Amino acid sequence: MKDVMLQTAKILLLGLFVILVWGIFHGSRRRVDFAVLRSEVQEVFGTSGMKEGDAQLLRRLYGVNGGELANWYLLTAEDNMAVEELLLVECASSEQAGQVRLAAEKRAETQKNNFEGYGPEQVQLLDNCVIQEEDPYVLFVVSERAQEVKTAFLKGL
Amino acid sequence: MVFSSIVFIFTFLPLVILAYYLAPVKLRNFVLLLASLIFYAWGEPVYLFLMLYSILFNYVIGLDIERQQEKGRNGRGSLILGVTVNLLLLGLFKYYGFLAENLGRLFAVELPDVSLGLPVGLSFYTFQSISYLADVYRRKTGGQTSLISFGLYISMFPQLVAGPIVQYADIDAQLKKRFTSWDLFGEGTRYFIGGLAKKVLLANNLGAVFEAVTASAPQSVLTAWVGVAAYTFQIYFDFSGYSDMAVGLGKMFGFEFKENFHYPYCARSVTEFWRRWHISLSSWFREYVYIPLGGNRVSVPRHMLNLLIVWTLTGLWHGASWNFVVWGLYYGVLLIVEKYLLRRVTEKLPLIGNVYTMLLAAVGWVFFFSPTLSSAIGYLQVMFGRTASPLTDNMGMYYLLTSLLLFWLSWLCSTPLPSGICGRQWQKGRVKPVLLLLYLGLFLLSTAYLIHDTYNPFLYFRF
Repeated sequence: MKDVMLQTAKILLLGLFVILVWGIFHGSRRRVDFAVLRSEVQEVFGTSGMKEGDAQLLRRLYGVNGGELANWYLLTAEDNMAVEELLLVECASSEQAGQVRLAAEKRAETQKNNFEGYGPEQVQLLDNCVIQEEDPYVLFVVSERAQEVKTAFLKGL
Repeated sequence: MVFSSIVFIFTFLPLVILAYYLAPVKLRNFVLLLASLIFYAWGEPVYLFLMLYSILFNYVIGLDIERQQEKGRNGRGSLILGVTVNLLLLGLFKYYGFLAENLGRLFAVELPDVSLGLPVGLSFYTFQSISYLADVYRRKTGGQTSLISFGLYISMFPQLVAGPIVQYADIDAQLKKRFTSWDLFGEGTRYFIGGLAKKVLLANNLGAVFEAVTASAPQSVLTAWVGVAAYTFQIYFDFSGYSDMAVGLGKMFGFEFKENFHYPYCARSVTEFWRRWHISLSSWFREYVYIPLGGNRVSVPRHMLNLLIVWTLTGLWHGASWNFVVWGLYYGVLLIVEKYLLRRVTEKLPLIGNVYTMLLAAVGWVFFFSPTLSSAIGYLQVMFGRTASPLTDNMGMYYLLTSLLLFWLSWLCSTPLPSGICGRQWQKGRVKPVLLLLYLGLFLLSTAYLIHDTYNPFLYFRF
């Protein structure tokens, strides 16, 4: 009796393993082509006066290691007095998406502290910034067109 | 959820302790299992299913191996099946992307892109599952008949996400019966606060220095060395701090986990360093890979090959990237050189041996923290003056001078001095009130840092 139960459980669990692997390759977890999403977001945001950031800048500004993320794209303003910024990230896990969102919140807070008192326009832009987490994607935008960028981001997903 | 978070320290842990001690002894494993599953689901609800599957699968296979042995067979088929499924799961989540990328490059083979995230703790609980199956197969222990006790072994929250890797035979008896006392609870609390302080007060501040220094490519030899020194201490306090917290939490619930770090930066050789660093991982590889391969009771070339296999696997365990493969091979080669050439020298010259070990460990960490192999090589070139970078610059001097106290404290705390003094005084009971105040102070200070900081991930979570 015990043998039969063990053999049945083994077969069921192996069947479950096959389903799990099948699910991994054909599952419905939302993943879009990052390059397409990036170009759609970038088109609305615009790149004039902006420069693309590298992994070191990402780590410096957000404390995030780019190598651990599935994909990411960072644009910062060329002018030191401008606060326009775009960060689009595809994370490797839900937990990581949460961490990136927290890092973006901290970045917005730091920038606000930097400009508080002498840059009212910059502070207003930062107050209206968008931080949107749509697991596994995270968007951070500081721009006059932040809401439009957010719409493009959500549409792209 | 991480141990060094306000929600864990002030909500989750007190509730679990309360539920655990209020529950009848028979139900305590169940309470801990439930708490562990909630702890895991907090960050990664989607991967809870994977953990539950792992628990059920290994539970059944363990019983199957035992049953076959009772019937006079050896149960090898079930062991192979169990280990294969465990490794396939680990491989799918951790190594699939790496494999697909390299097959694509080498043979232009295009595997489907599945972009899987690595479930937290998968590397740790897969190794624990394999340890269980191997221990049952080798009759070091019987199969666990209680699904709750087995589930607790796999998912126990104190060591679930970053170890130490507990071998089943070491904890089997404690799953059935363990003792709790105020003394043990107090000792656990001391371990926990010590680990928390290591992580929050030392590792996080060292991490800030490292981040600042490496925000751009190092511009001088000095800057590169300051960066690598900061990381060398950061990774030690980060990981050993986590392990201390895990050991402390275990004690609070009556479990005794083995020590995972034993002052590795005091080692006088690389061989000794690896007897003191991440001891549970080294023990696992020794027990389940190195010895089955023949260990050192084989010919010299075969022994060298065994070491290289074990260290390549150790490197790969840390991450699916060529950096980690090179890092593992680096240690494999160093251990071979020490074993056959340098052993007597390092034993006779302990101080020089320690300096040489620290230097080699620091060089090794460059492969660890660099995002790519080429950036690691670039960093090493700056460290050893192989570029046009000057010897010193303002940035290097600034970070060296402003971090001197932190480096000195880090060096001191990486030796047995502080804990030796505290431990001796504690046992003698002479200055208990002073030590109590010290631990209370460390706890309050760490909490203040936690409230201020929003982002303090553990380095070893990604493994």
